[in-house]
Amino acid sequence: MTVVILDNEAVQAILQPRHPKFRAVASRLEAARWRSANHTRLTLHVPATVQVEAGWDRTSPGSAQINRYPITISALDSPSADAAARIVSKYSVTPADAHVGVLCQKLAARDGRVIVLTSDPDDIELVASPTTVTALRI
Amino acid sequence: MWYNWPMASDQILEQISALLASDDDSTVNTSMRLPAKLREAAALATEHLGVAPSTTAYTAQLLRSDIEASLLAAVLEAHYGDVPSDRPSLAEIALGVAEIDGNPLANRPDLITRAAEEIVATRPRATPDDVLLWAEAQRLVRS
Repeated sequence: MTVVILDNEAVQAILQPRHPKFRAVASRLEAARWRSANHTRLTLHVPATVQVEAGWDRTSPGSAQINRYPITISALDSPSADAAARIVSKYSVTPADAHVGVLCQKLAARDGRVIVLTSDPDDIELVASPTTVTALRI
Repeated sequence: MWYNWPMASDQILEQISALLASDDDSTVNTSMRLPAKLREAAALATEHLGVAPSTTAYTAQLLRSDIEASLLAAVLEAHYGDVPSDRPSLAEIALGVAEIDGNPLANRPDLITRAAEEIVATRPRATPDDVLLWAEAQRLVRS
């Protein structure tokens, strides 16, 4: 199973019409599809805090396009919130980035390969550590 | 291209996505008929290979991931239909594959672009891996 996590800017690229980075996101999604076994074992995740940061309101008419994507919104449960708080404290990152980090750790342990589409791969590698993830710059 | 997908209406795509995202965990008995040997293999894989807690969970898990993959492909294809300039080129996808693999060619987009142009000239249905293989061959020849 290959997991792709979308960071704030990747969500923005899908959410906003004619976003200049849509093509960069699409090329990585197509690449991830190609690399996942038989193109079928691929799941997309957006941490709930990233959804908030990106201003993605699923009930808004402007979200019709992104709502069609098979994206799982990953909620922040209590143990994950504690772990995210520790990441915020340690690295002075945003809560959304910390949530990405916690999700990377959780999904890598469960599913194996985790790819993050992000505008800041260095931050993602930091918040995901010690888990190794593939952070792709868009 | 290898990733072409049939078009479905936006309404159908929205419906499928909403159903997948629903929190409703209620279940339904189905009269789905499976080949007996496949059913037996799935039961053994569940029991002895630890692929899932039960054959039912295994079936549901595979069905969901397959629908998600098909939906992603269809949604992207619908988007390309609306905005043709957003369709990534074969070279861009090959570059993405190189990035995912940690392939050193990810630092040579020029080689990948040239390889994609060359290979598509003779093999219009070339895949990202074909491009990377040809780019690697060209890199070795020129080094």
